[in-house]
Amino acid sequence: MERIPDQLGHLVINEDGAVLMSSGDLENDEKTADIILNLLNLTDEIDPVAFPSGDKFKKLSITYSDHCYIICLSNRKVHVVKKALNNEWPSVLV
Amino acid sequence: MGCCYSYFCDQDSSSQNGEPSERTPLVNPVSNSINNHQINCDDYLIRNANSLPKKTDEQSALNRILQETATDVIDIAALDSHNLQQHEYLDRMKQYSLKLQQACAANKLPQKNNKSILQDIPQPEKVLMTAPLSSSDISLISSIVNKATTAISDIKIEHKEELVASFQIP
Repeated sequence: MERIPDQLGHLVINEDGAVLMSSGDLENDEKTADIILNLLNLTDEIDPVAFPSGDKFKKLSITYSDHCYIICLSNRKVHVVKKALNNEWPSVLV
Repeated sequence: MGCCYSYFCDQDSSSQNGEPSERTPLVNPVSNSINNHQINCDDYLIRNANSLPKKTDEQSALNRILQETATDVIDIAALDSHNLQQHEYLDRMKQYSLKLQQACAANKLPQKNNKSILQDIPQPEKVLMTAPLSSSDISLISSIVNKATTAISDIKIEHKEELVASFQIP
């Protein structure tokens, strides 16, 4: 995890929302963990018209103007990495 | 109360038969290594009064007090001193999860479904190492979202027919 470039912090959350590992900006950040888990569990259905194969996503990016979160699921644990962004985009995108 | 009280008294006939009753002690001091022989307080006093004040008697009296205390006091911590080993934990974990599955199947409870938009991937580092969204992708997404927002805000309902239809009721 530490080898990931430009990272400001990382989180590993289990299925129940408990923080298993954390570092940097996200150290013991249970609030962020809760928000991210809620975001992932909002729905279990991806629009079948847009994605007819029924596949799920490999990663979820939450991009802000100066930083972003990259989220993925592995071994039933949610991994979150917060990264610094160099480009200046005054928009919030999910 | 009956259970606590009965412990300090002579066992009555019903509990001696092994039948649980309201007088059966809640905690059975099985692991108490000291002899469980109960001495009635009155007997003890009478015996003590009649005996001569010798040193050995004093010693035995002290021993008796010690014995009585050990019999009357239930050491809860000592009753369950068996520590679980690692493999016992694992065995119990397996046993409990099996029982839980059986109970779930019997009651037709739904299994905890993985309600997530993400799929489980084997190497998270690989995905997390990838570069963040490129600026061209972000601008593309922003422009499309902006266009969609404009399009949605432009939706208007055009009035074509009468909303209230009059039926030809005689």
